Amino acid sequence: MIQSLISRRDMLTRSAAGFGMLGLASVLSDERRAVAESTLSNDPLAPKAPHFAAKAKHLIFLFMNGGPSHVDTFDPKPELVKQAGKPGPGGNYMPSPFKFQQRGESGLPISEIYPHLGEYMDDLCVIRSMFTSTPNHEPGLFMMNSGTQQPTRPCLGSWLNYGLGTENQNLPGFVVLCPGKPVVGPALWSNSFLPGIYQGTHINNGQLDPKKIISHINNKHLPPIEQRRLLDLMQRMNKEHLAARGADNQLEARIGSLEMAYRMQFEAQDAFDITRESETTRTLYGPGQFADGCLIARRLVERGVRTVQLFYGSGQPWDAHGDIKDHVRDAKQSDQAIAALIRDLKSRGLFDETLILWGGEFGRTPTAQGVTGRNHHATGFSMWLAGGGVKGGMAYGATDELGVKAVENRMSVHDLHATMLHLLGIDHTKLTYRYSGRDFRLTDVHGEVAHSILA
Amino acid sequence: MRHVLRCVAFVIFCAVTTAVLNAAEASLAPTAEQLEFFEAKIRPVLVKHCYECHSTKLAAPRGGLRLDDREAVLKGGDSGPIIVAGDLKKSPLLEALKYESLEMPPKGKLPAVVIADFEQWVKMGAPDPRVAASTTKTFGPQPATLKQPPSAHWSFQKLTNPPPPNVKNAQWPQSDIDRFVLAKLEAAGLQPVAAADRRTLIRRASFDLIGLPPEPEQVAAFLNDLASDSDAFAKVVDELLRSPHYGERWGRYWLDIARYGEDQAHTFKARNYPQGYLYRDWVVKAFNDDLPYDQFLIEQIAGDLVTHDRPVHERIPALGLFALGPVYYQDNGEKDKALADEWDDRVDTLIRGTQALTISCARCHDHKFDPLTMADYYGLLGIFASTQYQERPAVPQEVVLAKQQAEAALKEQQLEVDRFLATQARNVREKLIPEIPQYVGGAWRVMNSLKKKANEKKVVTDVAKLLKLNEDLLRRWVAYLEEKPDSGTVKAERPYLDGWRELKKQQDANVDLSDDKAALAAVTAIGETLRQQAELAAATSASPTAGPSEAKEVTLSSELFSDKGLLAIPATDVGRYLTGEPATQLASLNKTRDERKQATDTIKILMAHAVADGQGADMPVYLAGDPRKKGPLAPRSFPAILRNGDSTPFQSTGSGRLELARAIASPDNPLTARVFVNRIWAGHFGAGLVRTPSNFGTLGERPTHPELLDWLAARFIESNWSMKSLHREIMLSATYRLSSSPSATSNPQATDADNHLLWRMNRRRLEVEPWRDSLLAVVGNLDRTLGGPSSNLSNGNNQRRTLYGFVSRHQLDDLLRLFDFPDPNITAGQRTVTTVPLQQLFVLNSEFMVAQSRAFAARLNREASTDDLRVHRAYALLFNRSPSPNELQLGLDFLATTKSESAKLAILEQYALALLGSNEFAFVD
Repeated sequence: MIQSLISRRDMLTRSAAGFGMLGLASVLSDERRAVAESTLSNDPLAPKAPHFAAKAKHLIFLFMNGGPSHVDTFDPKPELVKQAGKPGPGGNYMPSPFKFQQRGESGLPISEIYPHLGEYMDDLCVIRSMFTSTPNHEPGLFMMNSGTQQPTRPCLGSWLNYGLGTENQNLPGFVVLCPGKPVVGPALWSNSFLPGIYQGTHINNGQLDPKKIISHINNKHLPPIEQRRLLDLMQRMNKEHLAARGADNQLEARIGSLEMAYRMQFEAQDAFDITRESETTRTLYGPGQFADGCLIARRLVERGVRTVQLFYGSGQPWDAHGDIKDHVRDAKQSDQAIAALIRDLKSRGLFDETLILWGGEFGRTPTAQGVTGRNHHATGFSMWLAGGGVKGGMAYGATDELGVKAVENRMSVHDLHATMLHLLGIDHTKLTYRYSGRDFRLTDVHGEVAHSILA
Repeated sequence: MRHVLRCVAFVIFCAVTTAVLNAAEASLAPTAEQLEFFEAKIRPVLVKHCYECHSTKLAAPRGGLRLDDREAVLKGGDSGPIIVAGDLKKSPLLEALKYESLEMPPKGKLPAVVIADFEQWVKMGAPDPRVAASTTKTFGPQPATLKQPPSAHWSFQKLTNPPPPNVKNAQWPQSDIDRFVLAKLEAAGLQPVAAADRRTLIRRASFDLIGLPPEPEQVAAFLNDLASDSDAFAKVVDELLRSPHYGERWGRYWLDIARYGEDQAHTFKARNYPQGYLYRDWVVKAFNDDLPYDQFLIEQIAGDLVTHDRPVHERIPALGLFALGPVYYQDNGEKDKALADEWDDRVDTLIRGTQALTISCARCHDHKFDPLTMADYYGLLGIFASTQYQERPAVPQEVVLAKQQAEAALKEQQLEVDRFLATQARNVREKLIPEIPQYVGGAWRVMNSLKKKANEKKVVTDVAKLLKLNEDLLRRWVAYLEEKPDSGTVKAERPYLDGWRELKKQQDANVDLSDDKAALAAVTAIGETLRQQAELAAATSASPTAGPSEAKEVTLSSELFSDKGLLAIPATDVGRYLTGEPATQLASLNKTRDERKQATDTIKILMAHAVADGQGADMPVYLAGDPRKKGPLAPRSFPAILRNGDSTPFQSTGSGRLELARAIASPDNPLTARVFVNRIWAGHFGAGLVRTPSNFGTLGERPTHPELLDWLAARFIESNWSMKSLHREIMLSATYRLSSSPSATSNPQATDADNHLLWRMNRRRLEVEPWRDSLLAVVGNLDRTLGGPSSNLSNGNNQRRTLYGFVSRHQLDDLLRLFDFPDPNITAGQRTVTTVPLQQLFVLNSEFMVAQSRAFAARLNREASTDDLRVHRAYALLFNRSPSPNELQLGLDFLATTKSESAKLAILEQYALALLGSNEFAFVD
């Protein structure tokens, strides 16, 4: 075998006197290639079979950081008008300054601050009975992202990558888009005790230069053809090294991974380059960082990326303590883009295999803070799901008539996570990772799948 | 005290049992009506709403609670009994149904009428005809694999010191270690592969011990050493163990366990650790000094409490093990939970790190597999709840004293200066007379500016700064010239203010004239008149400044020169008006003061992030891990299973850290030595004798060589816990010196592919630290400075060892995270090894790699004159060997090509990059 390798190498050396475009296949003998490919299929990021047939293959998590108010967006409360000014928990009740409209065939109501999204009410499943464990931003963000209040567990996207791998090995499997950083920051997309490759790759969609968007994606020093030649040289050395040592999965995996990195340069730059979209599509999404983020999300999902999490903005823009009418600004900057994302996914046949989740770390009080603001609120709030496997045009669960507490079909964060995992083909009780002597789960020892929202 | 708790617990148990028994007696013969009530009102509700989660049919019923047989109902769940028959108040079930505590069933509160039924049912003694589905079943899943009681598990048994076994092949073993290894191989019908050659060996040893490749000269010396392989290699090992870089390499393993980090994941009011590096440097030094491992542990756990010949300031940084721990968001009602989580981190890090036990499992319920109880867990937690974070000096006590003395001397001299200025204050008042017009002008400006701006304090400050006036005096002038009726001054005619009053009268009250030229001229004129009058007053009075401050008669003189007068400048500002002898005196006083200030500043007191004992207090058990549900107190103690069954609580009035330290660093502790020798072994072989290095519990893996593990542990303790002796013992074995390649003759690959039996050395990928450090080293860029504050690794000019990079819990450096550095928010006993394209993008494209390639090419050009020599030199520096003929030709062919115009890397630089990025440089044979 060593003989055959050497002669093969001689051949390669000769043919590479020019600028041969030799990939992985050329570098390894057939036997080696078989091993290398099987190694690659053992790649921790290679696609893995779900526990059962998945309704959705991808997740787009539109994170409205800061905490949008439910009674001003998706959970109308006429009773607040009657109780206006009367004392409630933490202040006096304050009705929404916005009107609600029933939209679509389902007649599901939505606040007037979302005129575009209203067109897709028949596709949304609004969960009105969310509750979480804390009304504080930092622990609340951890809770929503990783199912626990402290920075000690992997986040949802990391779990998904661990459980399902990703379909495109030339792109990161879990992309986090945020212009700047949300409160807490990188710990929200942490792999924690899962292997490091499952961490989210943070992309600042405030600066959209495809060459800079992923660390080291672009070689500034060599044109591709010379970089290929350099890589061929490196791989021939690697082959010599391997041949002297016999089969070794680790060595072969690194050889394969170098090839993937080479291809990733081009594919990733392409994926993040929204200037390649038509004018019509750009117009559909509208201007702004969040709109650009939505468009990138579609391009990524289209290319097989498992999870895209798009934070609405840097810091916590939805945190409307001073004036709830600040929601008008934040809705305006996201309404058209979210509607466009749904429409675009539908037109490309991707909507049914993509799960969209919208929401923040908690909701806001139905009572006033100061004169026109609203405080953090954990006991009842809204989120919505759309796309793969979700019933559209429905409201699930309910808060009480003043929007204080979730009372019907109460949905904890663990329940939400369990339901999302279910839609992605995962039994949340079986997605485990052995660490510190026991099997950990995203849902810890909790979580109920909300079967009645499944299509 | 522990005993007391047991008694109390027993009493409680008896009370509960009695109640249960009474109820049980009552329910022995429930009446027909009672049974009918149960069947009609209670059972259907249980079936419909509760069984789904609380059934004996479930492997793990929620909360350990089963509701489908009578006994189970009476027994309760993890949080204790849920009903006490006949007693509504002691029946938490009812609270849960009412949504007052837990909210059950979770999908929605039951109707009030149903809850009333349950109350009635409890009142009547909870009659229940259901017979146990399984009477033996206890909480949670029972491990099918456990064929013995957990306390009989191997790792809880006393250390043995087994004799090395006999082997057939008596030629091969170089040490007792080899006899243990070979005996297993022979029993499996396997043979070890050949020994690695000297080149491979020195490279392996060097990466292993100092995390850097050997210099070509060191390799040559070893290759040419005429001594036997064993003797020559022993010299190599000893030299490496003496290197100060040894501590940098092995300290980092410990820092993984210590989840060393210098900040927090969250940002809101986060406590950061700018001097965290003192702990890191302490660990490095401890390894370099071969600090005995028992002492290494004692100092980190209780370095402030132990009496010892090492000075305390050298032990204070060791407390960083706990002090540098993560802290969590504590505001707005989160404090109890956050504290419980922080203490859990301390306990988990310590016990997983040193005992390889997962005691955190006992936070919510007794450990399901290991003999560790909630009382054990909270007994440990109480120690940390009694310990406080404190920043303490990391310098000798003499330095602290010297600093205090210097500060006292400085303070004394400052008082001296102040006293002198105070005595001079009166003498200088007349010298301010020429400034009267400026003060009047300043007051005018202030009063006018205030028509627009509200903040008087700020306006006065700004004007004083603008006109270079004393702020306090200006404020007095403003108050004086405002002449407010309620200003409290003695009624006075003040004829000398007539001009001023006239000017004010003429002004429109709403117009700001602070910059009006005509007005300013008038104001200046008024000020000038006042100044002349003041001079006159000073000249006509023998000693104007000596005038009584409370003179009944108000004169211009008294208003200007009295102690609270308009020219009575505060002592701090007196200096600039002094002339002659007083000025000289002041300068001399100031000079001494400045010298003392400098003396104080030169004495640096480095403060280490440390801990100190608070008032010792026992923690209550948190039922089901919930801080809101406090159970009986758990005396501070150490798990009995780890100290020969001794369950005596700690007697300390302090936290109990010292007792804890001694219980862990004890030769009688069955785990401490075993766990550590296994970690050292894993550092040399890539895998431990126990392959779950942080879990020696019943669910961890069994040791592949239990006798060898015990023998090593016993030797380790015998050698006074010397880490360096342990390295030496391991490295000089024939086992360590095996080749990493499979043998040509035998094929153990088929029977033991994972090399559990150690028939060869494991090939390992370098961790990110030695990989980056070695790149810097071979190209000649590595800064080998030891210790000091951390620096940012993403800075392209950072050429220090990776160990010294800032370790952030908030945002771990990209390079570290990319190459499997563990999350510093949690303790890590071993690193995962992943191979993904994003890592190779770093190799191919990063500025760091490009910079090293350029530096390496430059070095090759400096040190070799032809391509042939350059290729040879490159292989010597990078791989400590000559290139094969093929490799040489490959290099020469490449170097003979030319780069394109657009390429920014010269051909030799490209060649350098290919070599630096190669597999051979990333793996150790």
